[in-house]
Amino acid sequence: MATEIIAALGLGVITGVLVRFFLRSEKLEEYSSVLLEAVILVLILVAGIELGSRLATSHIGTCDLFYYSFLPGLSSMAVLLLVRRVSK
Amino acid sequence: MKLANYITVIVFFAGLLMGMGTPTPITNTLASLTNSLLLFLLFVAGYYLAFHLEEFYYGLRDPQVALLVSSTLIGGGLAGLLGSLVTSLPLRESLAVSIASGWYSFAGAYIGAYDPLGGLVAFVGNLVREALTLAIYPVLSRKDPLLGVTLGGATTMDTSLGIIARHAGPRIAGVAFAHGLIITLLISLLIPIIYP
Repeated sequence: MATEIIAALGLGVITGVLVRFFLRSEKLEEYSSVLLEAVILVLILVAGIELGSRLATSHIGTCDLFYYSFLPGLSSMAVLLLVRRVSK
Repeated sequence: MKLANYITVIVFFAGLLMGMGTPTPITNTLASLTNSLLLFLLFVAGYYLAFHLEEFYYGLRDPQVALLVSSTLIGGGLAGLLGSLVTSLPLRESLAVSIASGWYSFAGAYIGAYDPLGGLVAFVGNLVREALTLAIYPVLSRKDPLLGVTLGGATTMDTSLGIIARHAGPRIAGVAFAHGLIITLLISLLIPIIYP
């Protein structure tokens, strides 16, 4: 998967560079931004559907699920804020 | 409050509600399409970043990457330690689930091979973390774009890279990509060590 990720990103960069080099249009950057936004929204919708379906069909303890859904991420953010405050 | 600022949160909750009423075969088909969609997203993100290559390159070499990686792993570790006290998972399993940093496919499959319930917690918990990042990053990035990168964990090199590039700019996208790549490499080594 890591190879596919780097290949897809790299192919996008190469295409973007070629398009920039040959077409030289300011509108192209705007279009890429709109396309990116649209693909992101589709991905969020699909992630929501997948998660909703998993939640509806699985029988995990609510406490465990709530804890591991939010605490690791919040704890990482708290560590970052703490390190920044200490190093100031 | 502008409604457009919260469009990702609205779309996410719409998906969540749709998913609860969607039959499993349809969800499985959607899940199999996610991989192709993700690769297309990365292609578009790469295309978008091609217009800002210099800033992206500086982001990749930003010294803050080390700080972010340490925060993500230490935060995950601390949550894992505390989790073994307040949830039903034992210490090693709790650490493995917490430190997975949003990489639900790996953590769910790996832990699930030994403990199906733990695997399910790892899968769903980390899936929520990824979905949460996608939903709230646009709002969070206005306060502090790097905070959202630690929340994204391993997903910042793939799923959430597009939204980071779009809302925080190419330099932070470079930081996020390097952060996600290092986290992915480290957790693929750390989880088998923590939970052998």
